[in-house]
Amino acid sequence: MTAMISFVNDEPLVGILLKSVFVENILLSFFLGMCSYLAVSKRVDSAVGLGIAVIFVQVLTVPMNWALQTYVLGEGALAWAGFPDSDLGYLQFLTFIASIAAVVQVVEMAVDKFSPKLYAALGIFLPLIAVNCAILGGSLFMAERKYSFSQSVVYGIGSGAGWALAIVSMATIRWRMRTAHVPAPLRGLGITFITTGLVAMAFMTFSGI
Amino acid sequence: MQFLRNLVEKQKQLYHAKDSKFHKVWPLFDAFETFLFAPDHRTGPQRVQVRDYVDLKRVMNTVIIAMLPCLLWAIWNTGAQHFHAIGAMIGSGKLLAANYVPGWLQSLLAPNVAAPTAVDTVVFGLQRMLPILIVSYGVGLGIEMLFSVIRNEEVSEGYLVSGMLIALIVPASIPLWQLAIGVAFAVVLGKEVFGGTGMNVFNPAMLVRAFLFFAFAGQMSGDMVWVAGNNSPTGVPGSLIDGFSQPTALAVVKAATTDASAALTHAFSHQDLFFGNIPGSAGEMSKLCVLLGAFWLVFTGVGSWRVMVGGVLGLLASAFLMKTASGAETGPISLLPWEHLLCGGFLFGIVFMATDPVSSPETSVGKWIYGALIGFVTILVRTINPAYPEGTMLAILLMNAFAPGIDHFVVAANIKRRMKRS
Repeated sequence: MTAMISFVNDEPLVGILLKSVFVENILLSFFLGMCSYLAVSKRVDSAVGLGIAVIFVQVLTVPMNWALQTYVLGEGALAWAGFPDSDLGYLQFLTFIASIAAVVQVVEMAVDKFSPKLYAALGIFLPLIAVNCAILGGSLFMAERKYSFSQSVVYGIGSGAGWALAIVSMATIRWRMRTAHVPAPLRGLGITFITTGLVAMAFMTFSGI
Repeated sequence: MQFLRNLVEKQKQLYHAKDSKFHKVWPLFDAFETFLFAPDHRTGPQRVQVRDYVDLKRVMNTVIIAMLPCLLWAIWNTGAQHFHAIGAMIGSGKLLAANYVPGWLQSLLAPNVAAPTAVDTVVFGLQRMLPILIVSYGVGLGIEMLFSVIRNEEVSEGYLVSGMLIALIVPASIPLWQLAIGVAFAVVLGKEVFGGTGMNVFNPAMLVRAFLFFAFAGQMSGDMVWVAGNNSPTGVPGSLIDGFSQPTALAVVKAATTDASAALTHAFSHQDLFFGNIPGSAGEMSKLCVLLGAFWLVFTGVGSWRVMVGGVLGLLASAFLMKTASGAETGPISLLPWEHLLCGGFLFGIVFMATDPVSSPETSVGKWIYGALIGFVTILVRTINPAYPEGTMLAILLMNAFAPGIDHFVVAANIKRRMKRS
């Protein structure tokens, strides 16, 4: 019971924010959340909408999963309830996915109520956020890096904003490329993958900061 | 002139008609014809009717003229830096003048190694720059022509500028096979798959440099590559002068542990930095030549002054803010704002690469934003990213990725404003 917390992450908040938006952009350096990124980046306004939805969901789920991790799942986390030897780490995936699904359900109902137009534009992709790798990835990185509560809030904002930045810039690039004479076999997904690779190369500007 | 015109007309019969002998390579013929004479094509009745004699080829030639001072200086200074290094090595006893191995061009016109003349300097510069230019143009144009023949399109002229730019932004010691791979990567994956000239999202010349920078870091960065040596131009690696290291101005700044401004002026005088008597990538060295090019581009209306002014102001403002906000007296952050202009390739990048009309925003407001952000990101990398000394290349690539976004939101804001007015 002595070495309950072996490592405390003491990164400054500004550093985490910059890092999660630019240096370790969840899409362009980890390539998480590619499916909805490729599918929804066809139109700029739905990309903006989905980007905002991801930021919103990420800001809610990362701190929520932080609470679950700290008070239920982690090693010795249940000490407050009288189980100092508990380790429910094997339930991590299951719990995180369930909590993400619950939050997405709430966000979906809220979007439907307050902006039916955005709801229609996002279509199937809003419920799909529930299985968006970027969202689960964000929570898992939070647990792995042992962020504190404030750090996980900032990381939620940063990783969501990084994803939104990537999808909006890709949507505008694809909008500009709508008249481009791309070779037939590469039209659509092919050229989008190539462009994503080049954008990821440009994002290496910040690697090392 | 008439003789040439007649010859072209006669040859045209062999290429133009659908069933003629060489119709398959019509795009190549068309490219050469429009290179020699301004095209007399008429548009069809359904299409736009206005046509200017200043077509893409003439615009590209204007840019090439703007780059000539830089190219000439690159040839001179590549030789000058080489003999400067050789002189230092002979002086310190590391090299005997008799052991100097002349290159392929120098074997025709043997240099006076101990006291090189102006001719020796130019000969060495040509010996390095000519193969680089030939590889850059040969590989790039070869791929472009192949694509136009297969896709049956006109050969476009965009590469005339890119080829020259590429030669000017790599170190003169670059191994030619690496250059060829970089050019092939950028032209195929950065340009042709997007549909060729005018369609690319990223500046192809910048892509070449970024590709080489990440793929062959050993030949693109560090203190050993900026002065070309004299190994065989096809040899590996590049052509370093063994054991001679010469950091660039920005490397000096990056390594500064005291006041960066003092460290910089200790290594290079402001005069040398401005006139270009310093080691660096082939074309970026002389700020004077870049300014000459900038005046020509703005005077002819080919390059956007908004991007250039926006970039310089963005760079100065961010450098000033970083220095003032951090209050740092030491390290790269303490360099005086205007000295940032004299170091590295920022001026070259903002004048020749950022103004590329294809990969930069189209709206006027967007151009200001675009230029300013390039300046800002450059300063960010130069001052707080320990990994790279120079940020211009990656700043321009990054802003290329955001250029359509800048345009989109500028247009959206404009629409919103005008809707409100009515």
